[in-house]
Amino acid sequence: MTFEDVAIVGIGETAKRRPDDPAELRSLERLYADATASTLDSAGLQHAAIDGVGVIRSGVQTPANFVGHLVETLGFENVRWATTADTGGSNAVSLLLQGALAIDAGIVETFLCLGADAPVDPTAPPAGLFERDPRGYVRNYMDPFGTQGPNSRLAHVQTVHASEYGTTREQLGHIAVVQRRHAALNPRAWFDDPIDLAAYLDATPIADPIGLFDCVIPVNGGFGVLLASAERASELDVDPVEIAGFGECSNYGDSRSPDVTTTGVTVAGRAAYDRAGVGPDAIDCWQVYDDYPIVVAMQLEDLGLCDKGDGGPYVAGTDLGFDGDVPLNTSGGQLSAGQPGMAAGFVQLVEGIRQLRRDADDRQVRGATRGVVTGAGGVAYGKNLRHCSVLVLERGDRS
Amino acid sequence: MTDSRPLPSLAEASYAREFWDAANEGRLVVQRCEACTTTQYFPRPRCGACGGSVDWVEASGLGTVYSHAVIRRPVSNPAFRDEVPYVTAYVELEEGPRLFTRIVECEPETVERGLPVSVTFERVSESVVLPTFEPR
Repeated sequence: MTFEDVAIVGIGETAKRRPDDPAELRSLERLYADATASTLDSAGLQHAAIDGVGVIRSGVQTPANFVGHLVETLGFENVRWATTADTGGSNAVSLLLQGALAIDAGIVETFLCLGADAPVDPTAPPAGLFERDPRGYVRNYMDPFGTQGPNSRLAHVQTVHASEYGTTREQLGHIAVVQRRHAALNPRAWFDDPIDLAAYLDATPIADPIGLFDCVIPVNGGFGVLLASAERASELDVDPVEIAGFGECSNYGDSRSPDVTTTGVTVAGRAAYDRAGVGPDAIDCWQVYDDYPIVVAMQLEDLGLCDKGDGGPYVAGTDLGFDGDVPLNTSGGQLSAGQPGMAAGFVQLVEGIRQLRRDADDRQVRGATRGVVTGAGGVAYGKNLRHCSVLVLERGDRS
Repeated sequence: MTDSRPLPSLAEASYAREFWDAANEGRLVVQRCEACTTTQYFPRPRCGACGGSVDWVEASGLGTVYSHAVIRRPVSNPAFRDEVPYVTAYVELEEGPRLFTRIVECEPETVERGLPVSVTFERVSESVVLPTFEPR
């Protein structure tokens, strides 16, 4: 065990929205408030019980010291630890770890992790979400040549994986199809209509080899995860979930001549397995950051489910259903449940916890006791995932 | 090409000035570490391998396609809508670094990994010239 005195005691999630009427657009604060209410409700706790709060950095523009503004707006008082995580799609796991450290160090007894974002704004241009760093390489050395964001950048990665290992779109399509099936079983997911492999292959080409169903559906939404000290958790009427292992990795690999088919999940995953004292055989369900199917396939390789390069045949030949051999992204993931901007990592984190609480209704993985959650933030120049996080979570015992 | 095509912010990163000045003169330069001799691209204030000071060296302008994508829907950068389909690529330069660029003067479907390419220069504004690559 890593954080023996820390338990996850609550999760929360708002409905997903894609407003087409500007008047319907929910403010970021509203999403945070709704996520907070939902999270506290799941733990049976009141506002006054919260003494630590963390937020992510959203894509929606927020002021400096946003966490301070938000603590005030949400009405938390006498907060003893307030912090922000800014590692893109890794931020949910990063924030969870910051909170666990604060509880482990005895600074706070409870820590509320919040993530919300509103990438869908009918009043803003479609590319308006992420403001470019004026000195950054995307602004200066990619945009002028016509890069089209992650769609084109992961297309580059997929061409290399396909060329080195023979990975096909037919193979990767199995990920999109099974996740859409899961979304149809998840009332909080955006999509509820199934797709088949033929529909995946026929989808509108975006940036070859990436097609429409390789891309996430952006949604507005908010999430929360509540941590408590083991002692505090024992007073609550909840099934606690424990952080058995974790690992992170930024800017993986040799920058001069990177192998773009291998991700930082190799490093982060090894650390997480070592800390948990288990390997991939001991995992019951997999919530793997899914901005694109190729990213899922590479991570499954790097998590040790198959050899490097075998991700394509592996996903094509394995039952990835919630009721199958290797349950994958059981909420529908970002591809089908929806990607809430920079809060995307919470899609995997909240579902991973929900499964271990055995609260996943029609898509519950039977007997789920140990799960892996990954996060991935950004794409590095000429490489793949810029920041990677891996968690091993375990269902705890009520005391 | 549209007026709103994104351009580099030349004023923001003074350490990259030589790259853009050279491109304006039809030359491709990359940084080389004065301490460990590693060459690097994109321009950075110091060597990414050892933290040493960097100088500029002329590149041959020859390389091969390391990876590529055929852009069909300009979702993130709509300014390029009139140019689709086009090919973005990382070109592995003879000097070592990989450079993100565009492959021009060929049918998009003919680009493949390992394709030998050479630099060519495209003026996109009064002050900005982009190093793009064509099959050789």
